[in-house]
Amino acid sequence: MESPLFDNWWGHWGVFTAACIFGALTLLLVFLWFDRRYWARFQIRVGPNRYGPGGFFQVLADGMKMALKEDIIPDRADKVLHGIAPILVMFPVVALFAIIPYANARAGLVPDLNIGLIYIVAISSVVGIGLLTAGWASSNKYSLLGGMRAIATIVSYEFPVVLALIGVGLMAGTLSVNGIVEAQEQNGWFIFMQPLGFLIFFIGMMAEISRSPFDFAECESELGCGVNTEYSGLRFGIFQMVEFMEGIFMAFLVATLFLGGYSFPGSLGTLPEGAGGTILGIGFLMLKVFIVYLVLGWIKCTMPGRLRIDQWMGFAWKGLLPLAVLNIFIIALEVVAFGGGADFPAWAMLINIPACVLLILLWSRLWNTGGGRVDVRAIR
Amino acid sequence: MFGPYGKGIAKGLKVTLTNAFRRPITTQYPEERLTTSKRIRGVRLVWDKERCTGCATCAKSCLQGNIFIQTSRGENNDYIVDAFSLDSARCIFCGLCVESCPYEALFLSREYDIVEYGREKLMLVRDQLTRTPETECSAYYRPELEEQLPEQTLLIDREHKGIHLTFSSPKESK
Repeated sequence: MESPLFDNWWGHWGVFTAACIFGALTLLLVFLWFDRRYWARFQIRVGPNRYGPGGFFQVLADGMKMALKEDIIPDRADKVLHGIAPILVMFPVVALFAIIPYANARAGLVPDLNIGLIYIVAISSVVGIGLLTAGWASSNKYSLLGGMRAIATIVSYEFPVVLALIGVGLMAGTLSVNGIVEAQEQNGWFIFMQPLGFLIFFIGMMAEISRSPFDFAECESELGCGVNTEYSGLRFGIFQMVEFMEGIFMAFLVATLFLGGYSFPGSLGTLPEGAGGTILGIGFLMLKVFIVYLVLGWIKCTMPGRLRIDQWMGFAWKGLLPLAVLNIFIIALEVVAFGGGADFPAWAMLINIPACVLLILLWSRLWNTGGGRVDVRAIR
Repeated sequence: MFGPYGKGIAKGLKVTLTNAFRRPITTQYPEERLTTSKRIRGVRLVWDKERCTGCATCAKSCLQGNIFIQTSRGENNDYIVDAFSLDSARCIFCGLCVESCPYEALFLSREYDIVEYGREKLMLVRDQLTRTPETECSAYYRPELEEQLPEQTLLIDREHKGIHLTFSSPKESK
């Protein structure tokens, strides 16, 4: 892309900021429609199929309904914070799309940022603050409980996620997201190179974006609707949108960090130069995102319920965190022995995959969720 | 030997996946209709003009007092039915009138989706209730009709016997 528009820093910024925002919103519409049809299949239903081709306009109709509904603010709510909270939740999710490399180091807003992984961790945590603000400003104890649970989720699941990301950074020898994709182009996909890190990251991210079975910020059966309770109209719509956009972003992140991003699978070669390569790269990335999203929806439909709160915290602190530390330990030893980045040998997966299976089996003996009952004596 | 390492979740994922490839159980209602039970208590009465003697047993048995029947004396000292009407907005379709009719002149219909814009349109008078050769009567309390009626569509049949759903064709609007 040799053009004055893209070579100019501000031109690049303007084009890709617009592309990220509108691309994220368009993807949101498509995935919303797709989700409803896809989830319906798991329940032997058809899903919305009346308006437009395949029911696509149902999403627009629902969005319109949300926008036209009355916006109710509770009397005793903190009006300013109540208004700010949806924006606080929305903006980090859109901002996160800036870090994804779509086809090469220049396709994307800041894909080659040298602190890419830290950016992801830092910005995605802001969502939790937005949720707590929403819960607190609603002046509703159930909303506040939902907000508190959102914060608790993020605090406990951020640790394993960050540790899994450190494993990725160690193996790639860089924190730049584009550098990680290039390292995978040379060494092989990180889902095979460090399957344990992938599993920890996947579960942790599912909890962080409050997907089922970890949707503790908004547990309908326990907290009314959690942080959403006192929101209506467009603001409620924004909360719903953010939930979906986080899911889409997670699919992007998994596809980029563990499935090789825009690159060809395995050692089939690199993308060709020029516009053709760019389109091919975007196509590959979208294909991988779609596959990850299918798996996400599949898991959501399999487990519509939730863990109990002690099981859920125990799973993060007793299950995922030690495993993540051990994962880093193994990878660090390998990096010390063989060298990181481009030097990292692909046959290291022969060590890492058995290590993953062994550790999960060992942890299944050490840790359990309490056998389905709460010890009453401990509470008294 | 080992504890919860994800086997249960894998089993659950398998169950949902097999369900995802089944045919949807949804009936696209206005276009597709399942054949109802033979003995459905439909939301309309069917009145056989030939069999009716005007005895007004149905009106007496009606708990709501919905059935309005007016008779006059005929030439052979019998009843001539001058008016017969039913307020189907108040009717609960209990079928007591059908059960009480000594001459088997009343039936319940097989319709189940009568919708009108006004209450006054639910006031059914003589001609709307009269039985014609086209009228489908339910076999409720009239077991002799059962043979003529189509088999009910059971959704469960498709899975167990491999029978395809049969849909009755959409009704033409009046």
